[in-house]
Amino acid sequence: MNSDVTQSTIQTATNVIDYIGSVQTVWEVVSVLLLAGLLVWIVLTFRKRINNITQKQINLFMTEGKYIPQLYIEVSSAMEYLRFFTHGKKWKKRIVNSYNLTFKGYDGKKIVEILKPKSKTRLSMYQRIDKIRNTMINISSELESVKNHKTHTYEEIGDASFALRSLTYGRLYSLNQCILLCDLIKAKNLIVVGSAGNGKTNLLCRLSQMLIDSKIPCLLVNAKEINTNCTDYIKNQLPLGKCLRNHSDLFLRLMNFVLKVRRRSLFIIIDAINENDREIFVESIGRLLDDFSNFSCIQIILSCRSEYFDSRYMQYFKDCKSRPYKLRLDEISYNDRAKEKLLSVYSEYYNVHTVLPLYVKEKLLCSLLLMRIFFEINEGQGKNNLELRNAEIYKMYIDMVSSKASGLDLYDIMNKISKLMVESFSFDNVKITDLYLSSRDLDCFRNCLDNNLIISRKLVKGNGITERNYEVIYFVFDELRDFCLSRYLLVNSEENDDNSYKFALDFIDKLFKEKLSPLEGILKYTYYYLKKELNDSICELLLKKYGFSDARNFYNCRNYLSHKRLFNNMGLSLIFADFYDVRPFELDYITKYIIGNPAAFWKIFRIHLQNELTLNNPSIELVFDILLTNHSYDDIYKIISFFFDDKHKPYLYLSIDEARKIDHLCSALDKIKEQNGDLSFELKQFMLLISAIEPDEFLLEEYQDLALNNDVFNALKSRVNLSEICDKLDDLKTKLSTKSTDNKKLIEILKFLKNRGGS
Amino acid sequence: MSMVIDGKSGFFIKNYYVNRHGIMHYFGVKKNSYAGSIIERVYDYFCMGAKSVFVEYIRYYRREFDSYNDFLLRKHNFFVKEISDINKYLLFYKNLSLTEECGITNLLDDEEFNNIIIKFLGGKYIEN
Repeated sequence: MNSDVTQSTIQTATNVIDYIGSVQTVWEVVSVLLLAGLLVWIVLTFRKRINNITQKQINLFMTEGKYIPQLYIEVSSAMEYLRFFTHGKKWKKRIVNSYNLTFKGYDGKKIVEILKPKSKTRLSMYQRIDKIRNTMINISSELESVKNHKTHTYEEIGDASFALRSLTYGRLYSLNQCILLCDLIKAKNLIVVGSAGNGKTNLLCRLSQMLIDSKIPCLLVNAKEINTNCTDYIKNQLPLGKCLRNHSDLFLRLMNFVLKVRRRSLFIIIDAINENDREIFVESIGRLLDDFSNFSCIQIILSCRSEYFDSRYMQYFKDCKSRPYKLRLDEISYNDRAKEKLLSVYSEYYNVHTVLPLYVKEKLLCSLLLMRIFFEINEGQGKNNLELRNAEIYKMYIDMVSSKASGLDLYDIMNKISKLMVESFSFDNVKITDLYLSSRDLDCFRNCLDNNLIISRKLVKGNGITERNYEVIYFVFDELRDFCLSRYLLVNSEENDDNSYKFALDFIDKLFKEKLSPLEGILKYTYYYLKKELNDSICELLLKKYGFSDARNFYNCRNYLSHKRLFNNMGLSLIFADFYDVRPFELDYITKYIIGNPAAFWKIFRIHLQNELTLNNPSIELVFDILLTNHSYDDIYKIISFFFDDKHKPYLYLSIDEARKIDHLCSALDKIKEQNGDLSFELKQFMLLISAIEPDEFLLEEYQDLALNNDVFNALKSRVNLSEICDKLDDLKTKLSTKSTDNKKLIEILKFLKNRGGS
Repeated sequence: MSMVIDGKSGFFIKNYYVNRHGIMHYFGVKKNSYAGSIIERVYDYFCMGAKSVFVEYIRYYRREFDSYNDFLLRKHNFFVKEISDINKYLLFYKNLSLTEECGITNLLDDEEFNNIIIKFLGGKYIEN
């Protein structure tokens, strides 16, 4: 094919030269010059015009809400990898420098001395990328063999083998990174693969913006809009004008030459190839890469959901001559600091300036999706209107998505999916055909699936002689699935006038016996709903049955939506799911539980202490109720003394520098005082209580003085019913109130005695 | 101010004394001694191969980001308050996740030793 194109190029050039040679009149000269000028103008302004098209596409994504530039944060190294891909050989020097550093310094020289590697330990940046990559692979395999005890063993080199082996680990990681970057630089085409909600569109839009700002030509296309052969569509998108449209290949050759001289590439970025099911698209996407493989300076970047890639698109790219390099976003780890930054950026953008309770912040940092949903739902809300409860957040999110899905009752469909899952007792996915949707609804539904993160679809292959493809739909995140299942169970019970919710409870029981993972989520949302409906009897039953069970261990983390656990005990998680209200039967449960597990009490205290810092509810009042209700003095003493059981720590060698729990508490209290001016009245009472019970703890000395504060002292005494604690408080007050002897009077007495003794 | 962010990225201000000879002089160790080799390794861990953030910005990122501040905020995820506190033009950076540990991180678990190193590198240790 190359030779055919070359032939045609030569033929066309010959024709042009012949035409120029045959020019005789002035008008012909002028027209030739004009045509030549037009061609030069088209070539020189090509970048600007194609980037304008890309900018319009980016603006379209921004309008649809798929790309919000202010929210873009580099949470992982994905963007850096794309930079290496787009800058190509210009950034080769960075990889070479990184490699050369591997064998530098004190340890690097030792490795070279012992290992005596066959490959070069220092590369030049003027070497070809292939050679650089090969050298790295060779060195990497040498280090790998050392790491796996295959070479340079103890028998061969003695004790030095231990040092050598420990020096290989970090270097191997560094070399693998360099090899990955070499692959990215070498790759002609790239496909970014990631699961739903991973930020592929965001990433490609950011990349396009970066290319526009760097004055590199790029064309961004939404795969959904391609309704013809991919190659023809792309060529039609190029800003060539009608006259050159028929000679697009020739023009691209010319552009390729110009780009080569300028050491740049033209990037064609096609977003979300999984969203286009048209046969013509699916068949031609692979050929697109081959068609453009003739142009060395035209590179293609694609993005695809991982659910579709393995089952469908990988097959089409397998047959390509120039296969794309696969960049999996799921394999790139997220940066903790970036998540913190994202939280602050979201707060700014969605105008949520309230300081969040720390337990909420921890939950949000565990899941970027939950963070996004939380801020979308709570946009512009003040402190008192902020929705912090998972169930309400998910409900509001589903409402929002349903309202955007025009012509479709999303709730009805989710109900159907939940029903099928409950009836089949299988929770991974359901066949799309089992929904019995009309063809119009099915098309609408398929469109909707690509734009939301509640449900999605994928192709599944059968096995053996029954192998065939069938489409299934599934809930993207387990928590949302559990929420929808709970909703279905509760609605079903209510619609059948089942006040005892027998259907729901029997199902939960069945899940518990089968030890299936949706149990925890279903239990949580069912309990939350029934508690809200003031159905205390059923809540009490659930708490009794499952509170102390090992239901939490059934969880099989299929997807990364938040699964941060505040409490190890199932019962406490159910009670504190909403953190707003503790009922009398729940208080009974907690008070019984903490006698055997004092650590749980202090965990509850820690959460409420954090609320003191952020001035959120609920406050320390609940902690008093938990501690003082139905407990004898011995129980209270056991719970309080648990906190001080690390008294011996400073005296142990290995833990000499470790802080005690009381150290952390005191620093937290100092922080509260610094921020709020003083501790709250209830907190003062609590500190006085523990100071009275543990009077020997020297770090609580400043809080013992609270006994002299009559308001605090009397308030605490009126709260406490136990005589032993009242006695302790009185003793403490007496100890602090006892006046010390006046020094001056003592001196006078001594003088008097001395004089008497002397005489 | 020196910062280790996420245990991966190490930032420090490169003053005139932050070099191999400087650290030896600071700790009062001789070059070819055992103590000297330990200090040399500590220096290698934090500083060897560290790049100037400003030079990196000028060479590779200046077209993408409008300003150096923007680059620090959006690429390296600094907070605004942090940038205002430092002499950002002398800021150097090293990806510690690619660095050989070799027991150095165990040595840095000792609070006193850690504080001395941080003091040498110009300031306060902040771990996120």
